[in-house]
Amino acid sequence: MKPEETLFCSLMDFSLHPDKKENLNQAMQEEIVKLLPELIHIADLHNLLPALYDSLCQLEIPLSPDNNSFFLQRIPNICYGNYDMLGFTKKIIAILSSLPITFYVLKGVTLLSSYPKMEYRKYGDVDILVPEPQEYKMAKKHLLSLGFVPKKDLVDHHLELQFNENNMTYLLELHSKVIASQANRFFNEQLEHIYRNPVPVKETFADADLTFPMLPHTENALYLLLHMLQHFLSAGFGIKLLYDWTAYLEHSADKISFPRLNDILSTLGLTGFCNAITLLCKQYLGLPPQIAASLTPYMQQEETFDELMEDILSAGEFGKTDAARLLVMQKGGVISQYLYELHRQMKNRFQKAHKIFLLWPFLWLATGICFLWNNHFLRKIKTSALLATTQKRQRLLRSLNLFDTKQAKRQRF
Amino acid sequence: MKANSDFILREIGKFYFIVPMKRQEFSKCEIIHTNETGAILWQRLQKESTEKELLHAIQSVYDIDDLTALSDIHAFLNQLQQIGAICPS
Repeated sequence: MKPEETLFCSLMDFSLHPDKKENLNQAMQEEIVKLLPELIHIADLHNLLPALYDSLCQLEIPLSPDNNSFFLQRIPNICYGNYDMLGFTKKIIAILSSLPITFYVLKGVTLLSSYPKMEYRKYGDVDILVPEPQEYKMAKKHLLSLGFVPKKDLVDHHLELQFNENNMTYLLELHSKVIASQANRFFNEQLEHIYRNPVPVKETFADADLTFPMLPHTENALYLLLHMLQHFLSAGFGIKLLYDWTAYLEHSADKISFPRLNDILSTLGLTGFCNAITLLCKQYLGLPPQIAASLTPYMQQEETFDELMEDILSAGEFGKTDAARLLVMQKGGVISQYLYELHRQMKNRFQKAHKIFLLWPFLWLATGICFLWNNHFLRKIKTSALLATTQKRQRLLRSLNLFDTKQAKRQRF
Repeated sequence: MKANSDFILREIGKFYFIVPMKRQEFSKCEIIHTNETGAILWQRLQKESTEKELLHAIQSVYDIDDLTALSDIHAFLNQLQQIGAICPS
């Protein structure tokens, strides 16, 4: 890692644990002043500017007029956006609570209480899960009748709905499933079973007098990992999701059943992934060792996951910084797997047409052309560069033993 | 006059916001971005306050004449009144 990256992580650790100011000694604080432009750049890439800014103020790091001007331009806008989304969240919860359905808030406000300050977490949309199909249809119909407009989606797990009010556009993601279907059928079936109407938990975000339903904390912790996984399997994810994981685990550790969570992770083949993420959070973001140990009970020795951390740091938020990061295949890099991935992407892109078997050759061709066209015109990258990055990330994926359930006992939940 | 309890003061670094977070619905135009002076006045307004008490709150922190302080206080109270953030006596 570069010095500024290590220092940035130390600052994020401090932002989560401001009582541990002694971890940032005088020498480090002098380094912060020297590397301030780089630190600001990293925070901006990873959407953690408010956490950085507040930490700098708490440490009384001198800011130049240019720095102050930059923060003045950015921080209030981020904060306004967050408060506005909180208001939109209240509206959505009120609307859906009037229907005879079971729904769960995902991410967003469920994480705000975990953060030292809600302003640290950029909050761009509202995610709601309605897993029961008839109730999902009811919720969708009602929202459309209130003026929500669906956007065309290429994923099978949620519908994006836009709402316009007061010259602002708000985004609601109405989930029928927690994450998109993966290549592994057993994995998908297990998730469907786990998330088939668990009993919602009522939590309160006291600052906003807001009570909301969310997933039980064990299932919610699993969801946060699945969300990271989903992004990891596409373009990657950044420090913000590690920050979420650290903050949530620390805040909710006493409500999570770690033995049950570990069992589920083992059955799903996600133990390696969880181990890696959790140990990175312990190493770089100050996740307490006893909480990390609850999630990594079988690790014989501390491994390092430098390559994974490098991948996360270079990704920015959701891999947006590098257009060549767009593809990771779950089953390896041989030609048959590229064809398998082409088929999977075809099914995602043509969710109705793919059910007609005779159309497959044409749909494969169309999917391949779209892929090449998007690379050239939208992402402006060479397909060869994308494939080279894919292979690198493929090696990383293999090192995490993703979906490896050979050692796990298979059980239904 | 006193602060409306639907509104709370949020602080991040040197930025302060007064936000109607406890309301069932609110929008961006009901949020005030203020400074340290506004934060001090808001804290004082958590209990019933007269203009004189607000003046004293400012002058106990800043070396500022009555006229300038009152001008700041009136401007701030005006902002709060526009969004319904203070309750009259």
